[in-house]
Amino acid sequence: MLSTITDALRKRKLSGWQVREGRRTSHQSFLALTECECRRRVDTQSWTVSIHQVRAAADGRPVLGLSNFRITPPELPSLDQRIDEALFAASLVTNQPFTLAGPGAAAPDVELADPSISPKLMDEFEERLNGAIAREKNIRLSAAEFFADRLELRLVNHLGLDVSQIETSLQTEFILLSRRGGEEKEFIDRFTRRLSRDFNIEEEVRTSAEQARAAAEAGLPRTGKFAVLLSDEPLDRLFNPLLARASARLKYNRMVDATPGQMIVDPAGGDPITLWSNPLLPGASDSYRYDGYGTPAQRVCLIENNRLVCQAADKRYAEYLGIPVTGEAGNVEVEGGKAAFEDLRKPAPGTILYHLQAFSAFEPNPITGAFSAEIRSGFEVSAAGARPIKGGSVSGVLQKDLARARLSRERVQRENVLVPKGVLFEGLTVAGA
Amino acid sequence: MAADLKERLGDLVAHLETIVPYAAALHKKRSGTRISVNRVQESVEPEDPAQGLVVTLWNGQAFYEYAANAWEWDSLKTTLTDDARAAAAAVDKSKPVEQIEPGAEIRQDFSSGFERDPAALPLAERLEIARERMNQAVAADPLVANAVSILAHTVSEDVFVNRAKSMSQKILRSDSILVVFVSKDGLTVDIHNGVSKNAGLEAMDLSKGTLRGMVDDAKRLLTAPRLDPGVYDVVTDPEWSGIIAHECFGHGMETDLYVRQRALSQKYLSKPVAAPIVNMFDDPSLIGEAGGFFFDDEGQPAAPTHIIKDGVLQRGLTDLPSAHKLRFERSANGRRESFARKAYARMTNTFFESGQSTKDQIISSVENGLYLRHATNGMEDPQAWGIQVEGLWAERIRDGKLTGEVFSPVIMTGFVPDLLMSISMVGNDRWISGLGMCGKGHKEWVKNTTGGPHLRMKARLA
Repeated sequence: MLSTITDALRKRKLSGWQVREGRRTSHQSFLALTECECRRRVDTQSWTVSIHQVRAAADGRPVLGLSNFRITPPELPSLDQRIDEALFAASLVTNQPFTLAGPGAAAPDVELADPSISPKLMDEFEERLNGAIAREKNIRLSAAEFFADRLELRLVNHLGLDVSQIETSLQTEFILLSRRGGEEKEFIDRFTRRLSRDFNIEEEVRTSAEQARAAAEAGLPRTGKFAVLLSDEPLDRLFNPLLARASARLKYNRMVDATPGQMIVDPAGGDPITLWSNPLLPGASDSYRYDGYGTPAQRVCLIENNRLVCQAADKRYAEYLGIPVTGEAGNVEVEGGKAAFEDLRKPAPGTILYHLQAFSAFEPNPITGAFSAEIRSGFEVSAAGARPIKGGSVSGVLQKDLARARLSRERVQRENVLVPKGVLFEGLTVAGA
Repeated sequence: MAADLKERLGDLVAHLETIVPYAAALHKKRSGTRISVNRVQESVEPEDPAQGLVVTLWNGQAFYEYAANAWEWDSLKTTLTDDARAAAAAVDKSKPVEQIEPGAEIRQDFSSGFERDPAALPLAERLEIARERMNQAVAADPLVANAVSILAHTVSEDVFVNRAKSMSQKILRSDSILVVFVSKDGLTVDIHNGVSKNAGLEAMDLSKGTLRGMVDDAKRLLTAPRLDPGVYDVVTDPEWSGIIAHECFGHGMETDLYVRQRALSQKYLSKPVAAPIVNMFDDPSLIGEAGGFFFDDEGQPAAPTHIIKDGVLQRGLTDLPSAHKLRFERSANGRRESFARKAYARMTNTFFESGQSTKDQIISSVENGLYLRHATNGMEDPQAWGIQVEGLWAERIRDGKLTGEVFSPVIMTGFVPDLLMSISMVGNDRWISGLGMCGKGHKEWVKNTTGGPHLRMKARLA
């Protein structure tokens, strides 16, 4: 059916076109307590068509009319009408022209798919989850969901580009309950991996069970400025504002104004930040062989010792800004610091430190870097030991607070990051009791 | 098309119910146009089409679903026959087999109303409206770095069939959104406003006064310091009140969480959880609001649910599996992100009901406190009743007057009953915002609305 679309596009007088074919199979399983509530199977197929039409503006300069549409199999009989509509839409809008890429260098062989993924995995995952929970004291299952997806992608354009990749995705969310006295507390674990070998249900249950038991004993943190060590789930989004500062798309759209050579974090005694876009990490969610314009994946240093050295730019925004094409931003990789994680977790004499592992929602504002989040799981660490905490909030501004932050030398690969295992902030605002 | 589809799906359901005790089919289709312009980029594109079919089978103990966006009717029947036989064979004979009731018979087609048909206004003119708004925003102040103006119209068409119901609904939604980016000395802040209603062009107005206010507010945020953490006497605007409603007893009343024994509210049914002046609803039958519909994704007709009545917790929001499991009366809250995703118990239009006080009376009653506006997001914690609401604006109130001293950003956290019990005044206004989307945890995004009046309460802020 892809050829039906490309044949129809070739018959039109277009400046350019691109078609992205996607075919997804998804197997899904839902447990309520330990009982199967629902099993699902989903098959979808679609094509995303981009039409480029360059025309002369009133002042004679070339402008790009660009329109995208997605079409599904039942709509294919109306393909010509959809192309007409897209052409009309393209004739209305005015954008700076850019070119698509023809066939080029071969994409690297990035491990994106697990051939062993099959519907039988649902039974296996449920058994492994229940088995792991059975080994934990004072823990029971509230709910679990499993998704196993296989996605076949193919990208073609008018210049003869024709690339493809197969991806798999394994996703789970499970909730563990732990009782203390008359009350139960929960801990939610969610993680996504591409490969079965990385989908370590047993280890996730072990760590989540610890956190669920801790939650059952947790109290509010204190109020004030404290040293805060972030690890685990908060790391997944922590560095996003830095990635935003390096985004060519946001720069072109005047939503950030950083330029190469500029300091992103003003050093003030903290470990320097060096950050890469790395779409080559095996099994990571933001890995790819080629991006949405067919650019082969590459690891690119964006921030070196706190200074912006390169902007993450796909083909479009690289041409707009006159900078090299790096490909779309991939997984975030951050260099480790000097200290061991366990040393970062030790508070200075006479002080306390908060070690925070999960928030209700942790999404630092990509434009301002400001963050605030309710604490779901953590510890108040002092010379007297570690006290579980839950509730209250922590706030800060990433670029400012990173200036004095220390990074652990150990690194962890999570869903789409390879980052220090712990980031210690000198003084964040904690609002609690 | 709907008549033919209903007939085919009716035949399919009848066939499948010869194998399993209950079957249902839902066809969902979404179409429309989205215009987005800023200073340097423009797009006029179709809304992402989400057209597909999901067939639900119940074997007496569990649900099985098959969803696809491409099928041949004959092969679909063969596939689903195999699936139904497999589901029937999966029954655990040591456990009871239960029936699902299909509900009262309804054979009807529904359509939402509108005053001005977007299709009657040429696309080029709609694009010009979006450009004009963007240009007005950019021209409003030299500090405006960029502005994004979005106009969108979406038509959702659903067909639901089980053995008692054969229904279709067609709903037009219009979105008009403006985001303003203001920059100074390397710092950029953004602020948004807009309208999202089940309506036509009549819903798209965004006054120049609103635009000026957005730019002025964004400029204030550039220099606003953060707040000292503590417990404050606060007044929330309707947008902020709405997010509290959504996070407090919206998610916490979704009864699929009851089945999973992770909603504390189950223990508080028929008990006081808020001040006696507090009333809260979830109401999908408000068809003009963006979370409104005629029937949910499991075929349940829309009707209001009075969640909190005079401070007392009343009842939850159900999907089919949880209502069946708990033997609860159904409410129309079974909703899917798309045909490709499972239905869960989800909110629709969720809001605090209005009270007696004017906004001025509420603010003038505060000796030393904060006025909270520009709420941006929130997060629920149904099991521990923690709440998190984030926003951009906390303005000092001193001796009953707004002082212009603004803090940003701000986060509200706390224990839900403490927060709701502290509500001491309820405004006589009510405004519902349709700009938000709601996730179940961190996924399963559906459109819903939140709202309420101005509220006065005690809250922990930072």
